[in-house]
Amino acid sequence: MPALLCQNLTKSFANQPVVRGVSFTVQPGDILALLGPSGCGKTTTLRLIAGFEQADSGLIEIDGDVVADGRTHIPPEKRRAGIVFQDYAIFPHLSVADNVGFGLPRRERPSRVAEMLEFVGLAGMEERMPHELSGGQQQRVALARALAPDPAVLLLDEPFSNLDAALRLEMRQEVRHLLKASHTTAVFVTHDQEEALFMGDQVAVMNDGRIEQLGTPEATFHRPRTRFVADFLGNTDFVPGTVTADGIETPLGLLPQHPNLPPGTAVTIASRPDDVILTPDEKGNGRIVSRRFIGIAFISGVALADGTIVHSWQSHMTNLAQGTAVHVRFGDEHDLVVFVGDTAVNV
Amino acid sequence: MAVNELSSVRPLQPKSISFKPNWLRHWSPFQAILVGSAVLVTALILLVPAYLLLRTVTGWENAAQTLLRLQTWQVLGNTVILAVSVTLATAVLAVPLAWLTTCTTLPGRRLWSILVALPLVIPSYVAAYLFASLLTPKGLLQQWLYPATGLERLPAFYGFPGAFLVLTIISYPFTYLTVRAAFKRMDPALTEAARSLGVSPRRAFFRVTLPYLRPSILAGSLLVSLYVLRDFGAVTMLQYSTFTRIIYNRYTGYRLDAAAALALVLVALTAVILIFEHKSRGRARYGRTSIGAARRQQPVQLGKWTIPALAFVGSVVFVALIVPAGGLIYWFWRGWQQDFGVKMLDGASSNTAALTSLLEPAWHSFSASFLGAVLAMTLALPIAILVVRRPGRLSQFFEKVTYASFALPGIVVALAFVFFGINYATSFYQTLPMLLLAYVILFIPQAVGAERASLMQVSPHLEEAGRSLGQRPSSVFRRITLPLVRPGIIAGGALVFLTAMKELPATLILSPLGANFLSAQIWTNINEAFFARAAAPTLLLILLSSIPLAWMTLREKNNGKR
Repeated sequence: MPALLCQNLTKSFANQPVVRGVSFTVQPGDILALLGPSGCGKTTTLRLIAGFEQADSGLIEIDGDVVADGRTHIPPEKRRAGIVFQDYAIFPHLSVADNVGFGLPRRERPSRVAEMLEFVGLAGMEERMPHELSGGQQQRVALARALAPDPAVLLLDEPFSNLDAALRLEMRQEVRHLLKASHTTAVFVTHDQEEALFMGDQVAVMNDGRIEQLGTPEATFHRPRTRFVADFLGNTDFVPGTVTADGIETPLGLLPQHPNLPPGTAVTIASRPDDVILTPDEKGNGRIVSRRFIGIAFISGVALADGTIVHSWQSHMTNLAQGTAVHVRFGDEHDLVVFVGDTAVNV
Repeated sequence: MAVNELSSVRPLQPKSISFKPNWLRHWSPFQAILVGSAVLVTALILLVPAYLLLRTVTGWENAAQTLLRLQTWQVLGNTVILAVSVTLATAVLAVPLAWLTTCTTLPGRRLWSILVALPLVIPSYVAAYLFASLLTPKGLLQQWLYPATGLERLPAFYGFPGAFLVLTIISYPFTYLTVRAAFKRMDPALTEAARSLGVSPRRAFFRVTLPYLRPSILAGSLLVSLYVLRDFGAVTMLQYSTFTRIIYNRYTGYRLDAAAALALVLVALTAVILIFEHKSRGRARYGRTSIGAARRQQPVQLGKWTIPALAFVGSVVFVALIVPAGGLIYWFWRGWQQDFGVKMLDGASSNTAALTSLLEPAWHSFSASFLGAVLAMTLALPIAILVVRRPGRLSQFFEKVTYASFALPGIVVALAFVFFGINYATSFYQTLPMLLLAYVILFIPQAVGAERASLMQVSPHLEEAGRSLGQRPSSVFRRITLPLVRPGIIAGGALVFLTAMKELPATLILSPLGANFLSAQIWTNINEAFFARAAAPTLLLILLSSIPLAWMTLREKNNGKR
């Protein structure tokens, strides 16, 4: 039995559909990352599960209990769905202990609060007030508070976006570790693809109110089924090509792949910077038009004769000036994803 | 960091599935209570204009006669002229005052900024009698000037000149406070950008600062004009015939149909201002467009203008604060010497006895105002919660009705209650509950405004987090929302209390039988020109009404660093 089941959820605000037919299940102890650009409906989906919004239609089951369908709307307090907000929503007038103990029966508070604070590494901070805590500590309090009543599912709404870059990396690892250690089923909303790939056992990429693809992080990254997913999960260039008997003819030369398509079909190839190999060449097929230094590497933008721009990455020791004539070709380590229209044909 | 395995796995609470009819699905019992209470309050407010309308229609002949009389149109003219002239004068005073006390190197500007706002606590009838005792043709000023100058009499003070002077002096703080707030919010980058585009400081003021201030000047001015239209004490005391005074005269002359008809016209007039205010508010918010904290402004160097600036601010404070305060002390001292005209105060035979006899009206004023403030804040809370947390057509309706009750002057509300009490609820008439309900109608816009503002400071996520931790809406309200908005509610309540203490017409007309109120006592004495007798209750009134505000200000200072 899945810990969480959503089936065909829909929700509109003022006749504007925001969630349109979202379905997924999360197995006990799994983390699902809902990934998508802002306005894609991921936060609304989360709020439908929490019960803060009422779905127009669709079914939600938590731990096998129906909490929302066409006729039923169980209020949030009876859903056993804990939530951690982007702004943490720590009650500013309550101490750390009172925050963590908020959802507990009075009797159980002292022991459970101590246990939870120990668990998140805040032992001894019971009497601190929220404004005396750092951002990371506030996050731990929010997590401890949400986990204290032992929710059936934990919902996290962009929980790391208020932290600075270094702390964000640290908290990511730590929160994942804590969720796993407590066997918590969680749904995690983010717009950061790297975060989603790291945190999720499953990643659901959302666009315009729908889930475009749901799968393991690896599968979703390597085998995007739509152009949107390919585009959103990593700096993807789309290179035009034509199917021939020998492979796919592209501005970067012949790609020796044989999709099951009639010759002459126009296709698009998804190419990430690591798929494109670049060598300086006076008589090459392209010219470097942009350079981005990201520390561990250079990412060069190369303009081809037909105007296509592809990106390629080199080690940080290979410093090629803008304007350098180069030869670019696809690498042959793995097959590239080929699209006809918006849909991938070879995944 | 050590991570333990979590021990217990324990269901949060028994799960139940409830099936409610469709229309109730969004409504928890808590919300049903909120809506029910809001419906009662709006019904109470709407009762006032409805009853006036009914009265006017049933007494149609008398009403029509009243409305068609030349005098009515003169009154309308008087009212409009007074409102417009006072509004203009307050704007002219307030803008330079706000600028000097916020943006310049004026010496002691923090102190000045408090002193300049203080006249707000003076009731209009008190200011009226203090200035009247000083400035009437044979008043104190003439008596002091006579030995030196031989001046026989000063120009007329009663009528328009007095009403204009007094209302300007006590209402300019409204505009001052809104404009000052705008100056403080203003991003210095605005004028700096103008300067960098080659505009001189003076032109920058007129081309950037003044247009930026326009909404706040407008907002303050509308408050002032509403204040003038609603004022009863000053115009009646100074015998300038605006609507409130004439309505009161008709009421005391038992011509209730005429009073109702005139009250309707007054409500219409205030409603016009209110609609204007509402429209201007929509566009009025010029927020800072840039992100990041605004830098502190560099104060403008006054240089050689320091002395004239000090003279200007000083003379405003002198006229609006020192003179009334001095007058009050003078009359108190005169009264003290004459044992406060002992005959008037229940046969009190000495100063101590006279002052002791004030305890009873003081208690009545204090307790009624306190209960009124508590009731207004309590009844306003459901409306404020609905407006902030459950926006929708119903909430909008509640908000608009409470806001519209700004258009109901005290005299009008009192009148409607009198009609209603005499005809339908005689046992209720002239009881404390009735006075308190009138207070609720009069002060609910203020109360909703204050509570709405503090509710907006509370992130809805806090309440949602509480819900997801298994708490029902009522419990979330008690454990999270209420503790967080309590300071705002108390602050709003203190202001309502202050306004209720000063309130005159409703208190005068609706006060429970046999109960004496400070404001009513002052009013009776000044109407018979017993200024010395009015001084002691006035001092007591100002003192009592300022207690909560002073207490709050002190607390704020102590908690300032939180």
